[in-house]
Amino acid sequence: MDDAAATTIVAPVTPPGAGAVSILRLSGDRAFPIARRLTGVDPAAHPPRTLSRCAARDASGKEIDSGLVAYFPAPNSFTGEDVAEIHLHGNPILLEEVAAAACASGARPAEAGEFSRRAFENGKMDLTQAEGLCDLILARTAASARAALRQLNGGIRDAVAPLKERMLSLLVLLEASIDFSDEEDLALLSVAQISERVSEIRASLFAYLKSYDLGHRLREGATVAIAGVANVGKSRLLNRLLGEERAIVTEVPGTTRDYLSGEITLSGIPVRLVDTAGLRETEDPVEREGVRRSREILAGADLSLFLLDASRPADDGDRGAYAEVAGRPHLLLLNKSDLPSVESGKGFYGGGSRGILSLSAKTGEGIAGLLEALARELVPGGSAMMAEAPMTRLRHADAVRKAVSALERAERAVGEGLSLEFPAADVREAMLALAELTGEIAPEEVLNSIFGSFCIGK
Amino acid sequence: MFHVEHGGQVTVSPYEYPTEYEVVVVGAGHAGCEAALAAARMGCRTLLLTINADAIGLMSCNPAIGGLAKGHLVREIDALGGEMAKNIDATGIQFRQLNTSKGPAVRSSRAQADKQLYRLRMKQILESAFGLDVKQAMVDGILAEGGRAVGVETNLGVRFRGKTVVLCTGTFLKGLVHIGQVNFPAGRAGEFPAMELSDSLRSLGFSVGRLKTGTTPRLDAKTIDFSRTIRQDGDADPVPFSFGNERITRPQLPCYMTYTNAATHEAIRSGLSRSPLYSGVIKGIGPRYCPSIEDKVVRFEGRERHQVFLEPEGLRTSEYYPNGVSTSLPYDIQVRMLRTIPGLEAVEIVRPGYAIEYDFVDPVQLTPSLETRIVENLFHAGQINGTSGYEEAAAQGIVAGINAARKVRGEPPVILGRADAYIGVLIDDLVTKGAQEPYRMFTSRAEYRLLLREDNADLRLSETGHRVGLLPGERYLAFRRKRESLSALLRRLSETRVVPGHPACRAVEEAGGGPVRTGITYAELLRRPEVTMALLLSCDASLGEGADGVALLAELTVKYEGYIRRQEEEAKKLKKYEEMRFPPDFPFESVYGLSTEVRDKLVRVRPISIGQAQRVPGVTPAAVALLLVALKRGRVEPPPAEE
Ligand SMILES: Cc1cc2nc3c(=O)[nH]c(=O)nc-3n(C[C@H](O)[C@H](O)[C@H](O)COP(=O)(O)OP(=O)(O)OC[C@H]3O[C@@H](n4cnc5c(N)ncnc54)[C@H](O)[C@@H]3O)c2cc1C
Ligand SMILES: Nc1nc2c(ncn2[C@@H]2O[C@H](COP(=O)(O)OP(=O)(O)OP(=O)(O)O)[C@@H](O)[C@H]2O)c(=O)[nH]1
Ligand SMILES: [Mg+2]
Repeated sequence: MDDAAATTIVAPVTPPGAGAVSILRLSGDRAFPIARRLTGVDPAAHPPRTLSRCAARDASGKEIDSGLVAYFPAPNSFTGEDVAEIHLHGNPILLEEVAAAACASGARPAEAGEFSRRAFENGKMDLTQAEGLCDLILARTAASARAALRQLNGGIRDAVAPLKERMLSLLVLLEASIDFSDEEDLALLSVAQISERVSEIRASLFAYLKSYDLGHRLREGATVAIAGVANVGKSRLLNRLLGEERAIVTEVPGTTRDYLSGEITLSGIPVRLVDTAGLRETEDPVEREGVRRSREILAGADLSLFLLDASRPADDGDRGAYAEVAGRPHLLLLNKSDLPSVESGKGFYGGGSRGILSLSAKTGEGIAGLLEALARELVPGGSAMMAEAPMTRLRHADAVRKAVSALERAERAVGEGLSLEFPAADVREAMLALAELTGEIAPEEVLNSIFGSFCIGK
Repeated sequence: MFHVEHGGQVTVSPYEYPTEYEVVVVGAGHAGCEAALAAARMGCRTLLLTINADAIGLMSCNPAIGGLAKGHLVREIDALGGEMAKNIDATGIQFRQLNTSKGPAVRSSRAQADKQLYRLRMKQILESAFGLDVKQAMVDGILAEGGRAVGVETNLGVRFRGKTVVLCTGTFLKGLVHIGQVNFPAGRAGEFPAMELSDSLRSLGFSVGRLKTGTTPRLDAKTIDFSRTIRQDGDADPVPFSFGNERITRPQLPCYMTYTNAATHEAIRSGLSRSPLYSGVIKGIGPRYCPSIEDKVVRFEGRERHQVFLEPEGLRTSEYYPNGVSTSLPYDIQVRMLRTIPGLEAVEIVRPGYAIEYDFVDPVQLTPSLETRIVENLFHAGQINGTSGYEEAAAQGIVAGINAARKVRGEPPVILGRADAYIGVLIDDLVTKGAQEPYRMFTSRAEYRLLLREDNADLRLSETGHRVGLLPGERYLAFRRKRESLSALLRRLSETRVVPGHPACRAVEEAGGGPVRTGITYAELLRRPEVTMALLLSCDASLGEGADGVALLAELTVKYEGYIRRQEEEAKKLKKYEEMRFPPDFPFESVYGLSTEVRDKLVRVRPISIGQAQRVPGVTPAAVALLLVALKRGRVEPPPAEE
């Protein structure tokens, strides 16, 4: 092959396995002639971006399948190159045969993430959009999918673009007063105006940073552990929340030996609920192993629900178990509210004033309140954030945090009366951080890891 | 030598000059002087050819060296072992530190020169340089054999052979001077242009463009009423440019300030229809940052007045340079316009202002060593590369001279990084981005501005100057002493702990700082905004025992430690990418996966490193990732297709 840039790639873009329809995508300089050879449909004779009936044939002219083909001329295509998509019946064997025929005509199989990479390379999407695409395909809830879609549509870029603009115009003024201070009365900013502008931008960025709390939960979901000593009703609560009899519930303490889990959706966030073995010291090696695993779950959970049995006074066992969650995000629940209550939960929470929820896993009383509390804990700011495109990855939050702290330094520098080249250096750093966010100057590692995590065909 | 006449033209049969040179420099402007001196001082048999031997090192425009960002360049040239700083120190008539109220990184030095003394001293230095011949000659062509430069040919048919050739031809290539509707070929007013050389370059395959610049009229001091202007003196204690000089001894002259007014602007407007700029005669692109007065009046219509500085051109001349009224308006308008300005009511013009268009050679055709990629052993430096300014020219000149000499010796080129020097920024910008308009240095072009200060230019570059063999031994030793005494002082500052009640603590409190409650190091004290090294020195004189300038350096190092550290970290990251070098024959044409557009851009510039590739405009991060892959795996060819 003479020309690397002209390489045409081919791969299915629908998930592997049998389905009603599968789509094969060709992208590159020779996508049209190759697709024409496979389907007999002349791209010049058909309007772009519309489906035409076709018969897919191999090199020898033998018909493989009947299907549809659409042509997307560059640059108005997914990759920014000429793209042809062939719809076939959803049989992996057919798909493979047509792909092989395409390769025989000069295409080669796409590598993982290569379509996206080309789209990125051709300026069809920025880094956050490429990530959004990946997330959209893997989204577990409708809300996650919506967030990913917004990101794919450039939501993050659009959210930071005006801030970048503002930084740039500020930087321009700073630089002007540094480099042209020998010019006559250049209209420039006062120190007060500079720090006002910096702090406005910082505040907006900081507000946007908050969207990560929701965004990363949408993408990654949340893990909620149910904890407490034996027999407080952990398994029964799990079953109640899942709405199915997942865990075994008995009046025998130590019923649950190994943790088990189920998933629910809360405010659009996929939440994994994990029922754990009751926390207690025991000689039984099986139960001991269960407790060890419980502790692991507790350590990794985003939130724990700590249960007390309200029908009996809390004892040292409860207090000892509580000590294990006390340092982490948790809610205190008084279970078995259907029975006469003897335990108020006071003395837990370090005597603090946070709410204690009373509920009954048996009757379902208080469960609605629990769900609300859960949503509040997992999504601070709640669904108000849903209006914009939330940041979904640690990488995003890190970049914005870097920008925020650079701007904080700029404010401090201005406040301390340092000369303008110092805040200018800070503002530059902040801009650089945001540019990294959208991939304008992404270091190789970021790019490689991002593109490496793409599944083939996207 | 004999002449043959045919077709009305005289053809001269070539005369092979008997001496073979190692470095032939064309043009004795600011670039050429540094290039020739560097090559000769590095031990190369060097020839400097120039059109007019009376105009060596002549300042075409403002008789001043330095200024914002340019002062940095001058000090860097000095640290490498160049001549410009020493020359201005010896011939300066008004020195000023600019931006003294601003931060350390943007403080710059500027000095007015006695224009004639400046050029005469430079000429003398060249003439006394060992191994350097200076000759008056008009170079018409480059001699190239097998894609390599082997010398030059003059209009008299003389062929000077050289292992390397450095072109520093300034504004002279097909120079065309404009004054109103009148225009005529000239290298600058009153001098021959070089009409052939750029065609020789074109025929060698170079792409040649056209730029424009302009200068002010020169005025007769006898006809200026200085009492109507504002006098401006230089610094009482002038600071030399060269790290090797301790003080300036020459008597200093004042400058004067005045303003244009509505009548001036009216006069200018009345001449616009006959302006070569506004009537469309001039095609070359001029500098946006250095507009002519007619440009200023048109573009900033609301502005009521513009500053004009009246600067003496020398001690023994009555010519004055009115800084701020560069113009190419017709002669009559120049007279009318000037005479509306307070102090200039009866002024006589000695030389009119003019604009000049000239050929330049787009510097993307160069490698970062300033050697051309099209013709080996040929180097370009100065305004031929699309820059403007003496300092920018000299900075390239010294680098081209060094690298030509190293090429002769078979040594790898010296390439300064963007975090090492403004010179590095300058050259990297030129060869990576090209010149769309005349390029001038600004501090904002340097992303590591806080590291690249005038005060530490010697610390940054003396080692390089010494290594290439340019910096004289005693200067290198002085630098070593300074570096050692700086680190000793820094150590003392961070190790000396003083307790409340110590004179230093009391002084700090008196200076308005908060109370000192616990034991504290000098360095911690110095980090407080109100504390300066001067204050500490007043309490502990022993801190001032180090070499000159060290106290200030220490203060900056301590005070801005956080900023400096962050920029150093950034610079280190950058360096990693700069060190990922492409092999010289790296086939950008066939890197797998690059879009045609990006590939064309890379092929045009042929970056030497991943770092440089990243800075080529239009090269996306994804493209950089592809380059990295290609570089690391050596996988430049596309993977074999299943045929
Ligand atoms: C009218 C005018 C206005 C300017 N205005 C400004 C300004 O506003 N701001 C600013 O920063 N800079 C300005 N400059 C630019 C500044 O003068 C130059 O940037 C600087 O001098 C360039 O240095 P150089 O060494 O590249 O070339 P020059 O100083 O121009 O020197 C070129 C040398 O090359 C010699 N030469 C040329 N061709 C040949 C040949 N074929 N054979 C032999 N010798 C040759 C010439 O004789 C001359 O000695 C102006 C220049 C001019 C002419
Ligand atoms: N009345 C009442 N009984 C409950 C409630 N929740 C759980 N129980 C009972 O308490 C007993 C223990 O319940 P489990 O859910 O097995 O308790 P557990 O915390 O999982 O116990 P281990 O797995 O042994 O750690 C069972 O008999 C449940 O029916 C409740 O809300 N009300
Ligand atoms: Mg259980």
